[in-house]
Amino acid sequence: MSDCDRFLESLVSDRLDEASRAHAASCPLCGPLLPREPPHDPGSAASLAAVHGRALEVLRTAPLRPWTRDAARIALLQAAVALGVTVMLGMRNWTAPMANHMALAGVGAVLLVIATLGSVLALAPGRRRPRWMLLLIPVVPVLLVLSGNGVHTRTTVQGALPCLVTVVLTAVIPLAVGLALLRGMALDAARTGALALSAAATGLFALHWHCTDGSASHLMVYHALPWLALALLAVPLRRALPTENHVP
Amino acid sequence: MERFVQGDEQAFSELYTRHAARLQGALRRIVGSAAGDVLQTTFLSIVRARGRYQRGAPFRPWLYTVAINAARDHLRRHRREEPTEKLPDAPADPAPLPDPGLTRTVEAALARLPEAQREAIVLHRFEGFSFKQIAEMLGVTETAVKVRAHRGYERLRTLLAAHRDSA
Repeated sequence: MSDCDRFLESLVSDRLDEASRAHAASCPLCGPLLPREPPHDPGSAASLAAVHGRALEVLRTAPLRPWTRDAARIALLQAAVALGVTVMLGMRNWTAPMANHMALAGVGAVLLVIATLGSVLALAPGRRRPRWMLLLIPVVPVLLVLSGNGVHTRTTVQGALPCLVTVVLTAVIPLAVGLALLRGMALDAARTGALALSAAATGLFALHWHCTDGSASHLMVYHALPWLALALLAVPLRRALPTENHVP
Repeated sequence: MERFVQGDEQAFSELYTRHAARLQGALRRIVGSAAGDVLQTTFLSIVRARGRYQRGAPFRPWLYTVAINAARDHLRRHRREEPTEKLPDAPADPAPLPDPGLTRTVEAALARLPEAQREAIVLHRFEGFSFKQIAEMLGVTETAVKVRAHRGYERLRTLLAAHRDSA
């Protein structure tokens, strides 16, 4: 390994020792790579003053908007949509699935938590917390299948399609509101996916209490798949929207 | 920072005076002549969305995270103007930096790096952030940042060597 390579290795290890510094001081190629203070740039004072003035104007008029307020609003909206669609479906056909009631109630509670607290987690500042939501991708399908009774009642595509349509249509309003909120923060595919998973859980919750088909194949294809597809679709949709603020 | 979040103009002006000029220099190395626009977008973002600041978090890495996000958004919407000029002439006998000629050569070479490598080098070499901090800012692993920086520094050295040979 040459002295130049050794210097590069120590530079990217954040462990610049004296030998490496001494080499860089005498090497015309390594010397310019040494970390150093940037040169002072006096030519930008006018533009700095203009930006300062504009930012002060905005500070005077833009009220403090805690992120928890937006998160609480979307959580309430999603809870209302989930419960509202559940009641609407029940008015048409209040047929309980033939499943273990404890499992049904337990998974229903988990879906409601995802549809409410999930959106709060997805909107939390920083990059780490929204990523926790992505763990739901394998968990929710497994829970759905475990709560099903295994009985295949919707044997035709026509019979099963309303489940898929319900998941998609129920998610439209929460997803639209969520995408509008996401414009107020930096573009982040994981955050977008997390919020869409939460929004689409509203439809899963409503279906959970009414769909009489408890087979694994039906639950995977007509419940879990559209839920996941909505999360994937949300990412390019968000990317196509302009970003108002770049704060993570 | 707490006073700025509550809307204190004096507190904001202090933060601005302390960080804006240096941030503008960093942005110039990343987005070129659009640095002023991206600087404005950055500060307007932190003013409007100051409710997303996490109490107790260090301000400078947060500010640079917002600036990098704004720079990426800008570069996605407007392709960065590709440097078409050749690197400026190097001094005959490279002296220890700071040397205006050599500094210009390094900055011109930097502009030729891919965006991800350029970000890593600007934040590490010029702004003095550790790779761990840079990884947090960019939302990638520390190893990924080190790989980007290593490739970037290698490429930079190659560009400088080619320039030196041609001088």
